[in-house]
Amino acid sequence: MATLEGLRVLDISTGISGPFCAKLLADSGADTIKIEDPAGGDDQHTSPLYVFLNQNKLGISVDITSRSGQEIFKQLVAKSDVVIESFQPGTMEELGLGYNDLAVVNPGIILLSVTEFGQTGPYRHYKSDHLTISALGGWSFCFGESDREPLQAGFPFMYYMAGTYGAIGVLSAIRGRREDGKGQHVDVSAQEACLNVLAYPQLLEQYNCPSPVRGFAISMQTFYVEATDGWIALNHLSAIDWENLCALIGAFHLAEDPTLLYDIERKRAILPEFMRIASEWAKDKTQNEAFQAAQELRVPAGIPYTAKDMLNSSQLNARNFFSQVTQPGLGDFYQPRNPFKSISWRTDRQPAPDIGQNNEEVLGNIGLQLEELRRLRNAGVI
Amino acid sequence: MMNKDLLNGIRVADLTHYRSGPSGTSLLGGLGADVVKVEAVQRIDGFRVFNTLDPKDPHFYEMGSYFNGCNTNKRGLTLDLNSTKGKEQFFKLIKKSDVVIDNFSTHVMDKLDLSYERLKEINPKLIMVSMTCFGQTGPWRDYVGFGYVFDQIGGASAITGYEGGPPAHISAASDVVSGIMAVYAIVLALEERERSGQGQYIDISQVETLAFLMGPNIIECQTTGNIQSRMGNKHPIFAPHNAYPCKGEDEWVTISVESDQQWSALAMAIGKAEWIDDKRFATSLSRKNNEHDLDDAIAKWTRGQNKRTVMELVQSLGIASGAVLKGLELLDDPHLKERNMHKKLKREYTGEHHYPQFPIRFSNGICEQRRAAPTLGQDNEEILADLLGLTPQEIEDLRKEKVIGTHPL
Repeated sequence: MATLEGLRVLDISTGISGPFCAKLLADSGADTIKIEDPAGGDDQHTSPLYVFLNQNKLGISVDITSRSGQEIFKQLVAKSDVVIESFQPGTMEELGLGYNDLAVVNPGIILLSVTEFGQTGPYRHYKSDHLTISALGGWSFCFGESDREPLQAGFPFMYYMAGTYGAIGVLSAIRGRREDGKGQHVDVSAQEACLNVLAYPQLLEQYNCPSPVRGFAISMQTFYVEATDGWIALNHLSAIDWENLCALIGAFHLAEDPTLLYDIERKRAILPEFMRIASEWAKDKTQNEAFQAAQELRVPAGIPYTAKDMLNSSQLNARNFFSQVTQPGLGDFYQPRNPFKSISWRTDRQPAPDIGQNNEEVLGNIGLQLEELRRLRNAGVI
Repeated sequence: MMNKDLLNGIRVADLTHYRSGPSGTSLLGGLGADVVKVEAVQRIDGFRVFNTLDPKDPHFYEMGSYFNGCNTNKRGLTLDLNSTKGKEQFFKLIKKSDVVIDNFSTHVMDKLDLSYERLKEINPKLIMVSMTCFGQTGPWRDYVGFGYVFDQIGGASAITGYEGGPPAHISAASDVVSGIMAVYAIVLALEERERSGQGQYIDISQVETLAFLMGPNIIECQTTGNIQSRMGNKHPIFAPHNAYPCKGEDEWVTISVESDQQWSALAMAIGKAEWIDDKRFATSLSRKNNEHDLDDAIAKWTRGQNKRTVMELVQSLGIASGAVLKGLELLDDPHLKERNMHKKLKREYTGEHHYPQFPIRFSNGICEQRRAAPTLGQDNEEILADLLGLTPQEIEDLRKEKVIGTHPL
């Protein structure tokens, strides 16, 4: 039995952060109902992102801008534990569905608002996307090459983080509710999630450490060289790693002076020589041969894996990282199991719902009769 | 309303070092758990010597900005876990803890005789989390790695970087992905224990926590055959979508246009109404096809201006835009300031600094930076006397035998 069985979550969020948070809870067994705008349906319901974010959820469609839709929503809230929303701050209040309104219906309700900039502050109504968050969250400035434009990460990193923080917030609030039965409003900001993944640029400056300078090679701890079939990354962290790395590529003389490791300027000076030797070493090896040879010498090497490489990985497959899923409209495919091994997860994976797919089942459970459902459907409320 | 400590009464024995585990346990402390960070004078957390205020200071191991950043909200205990006496005290700590967490390589805990099977004998309801690079099983289980390796094998490097350029790590930020995912694992396991009375062992592969986030890409490569390439800041469909240079040295602003209407509004605001009908820029598709020219044209406009002026103007049009904030600017940003995103903490040896708060705000609960990172063995006496019941003499004996201490050996 998955841990959160019996916990009911209403997911009325869009984008990535909120649905991802609800996904973590759903995969942990929560009875999760995705609520969509009846007018919002489109072919995106079979996109890989949508499917990934919305499996194990039931889908209903309710127009919460209408009076009868709001009533239905409140009836659902009365029988739920958690609401996850990601509207512009103030929207839920305008609809009469703010935290205080919901707490009247259900004092134990936990409302999670997971948004770009949080519920307060001058940017709360700013338009945003992952690029904007990465800029205002301090990520971009430190990321990229010093002579080029700052960069975002290649996947919606900050939104996944915001969603994970949101799920931690929800379970912490559930724990707090045990004491007094009272729920609360939880405010998670993607910009602030971004600040939490940074390598402390604001602290470095306060500590008078050398200011963080943009540049992938700036840490001088990872070097990408080309193998016969793609890139291989030679990384090191400790002095022993560096010795092993130099031994691996046959550059013993570069390992002689241990102080070199912590002297970025001198390290930069030997970089061309190091790269020449490392490239020479890698050029007749496959990625896998180079990786294995490095790891045998305990060099923490890596391969920049693509999605396809991951699917073919002997390590990931030995740990049953992928399981087969069938999604109507998208077909059969393998996808990652949950991010850690625990007895807490659901073991099955139900397809992501089509819009309003479970209207009758879910709304029937809160007492709406078929006749009433027909009337609501005709009125466009569901 | 009263502000609750949501993880009140939960004790975490924290054996983690460097960044992945500590960034998670710091959050657990921020939520009100009693986190006891266990180091040894024989083996301090290696992160203590990274990016230090003064490497030549005799207390260099107390001056590390990274260490002090991700070890807030913990008490500091030293114990030599290789010694019988150190282990004895650790077992007593385990008996009084709810969670134990480590991020050693595989086998280290077994060699120390601290396997889950062993610790479970002492505390049957214990939740144990082990964070390794590749997990406890599989042909690569004993291979070595740290943040960059997670970035690479976990799939972020291949899709991150400039268009046409080499792959890029994500600054080992996957450390934080694992650390925060470990916190989710723990609050979920606490919930499980609440319901079933059962503790558990949680095996975290830090490569897998990141690879999990590649789910959409992994599905897409099977359903369409498409493998995502490196795209820099660019959007697959919309343009302009990039960071543009502004007045001053290394000053930038991002602009993300996501529709033709937004593009028209931006062109008007720039004073280039002719762009709306310009064949190169009229539609999303033509803008994507002429993205290089488009980016040049936008940069020509932004170059002479302050990044915040551009952001405010573009935002006033309802278009996403962000000033690229630098380190100290994060402290002064009006939005983050109004939300009290940094908190001043005072610490021995390093003084007062502003540390970032966590991104979770509760209307009726606390999640915040509560105390500065512990100095080495800072809370030895308090923990050994009050929690583990040792007499002053017994504590003194441990000190003499170097089972505990406050200076690295």
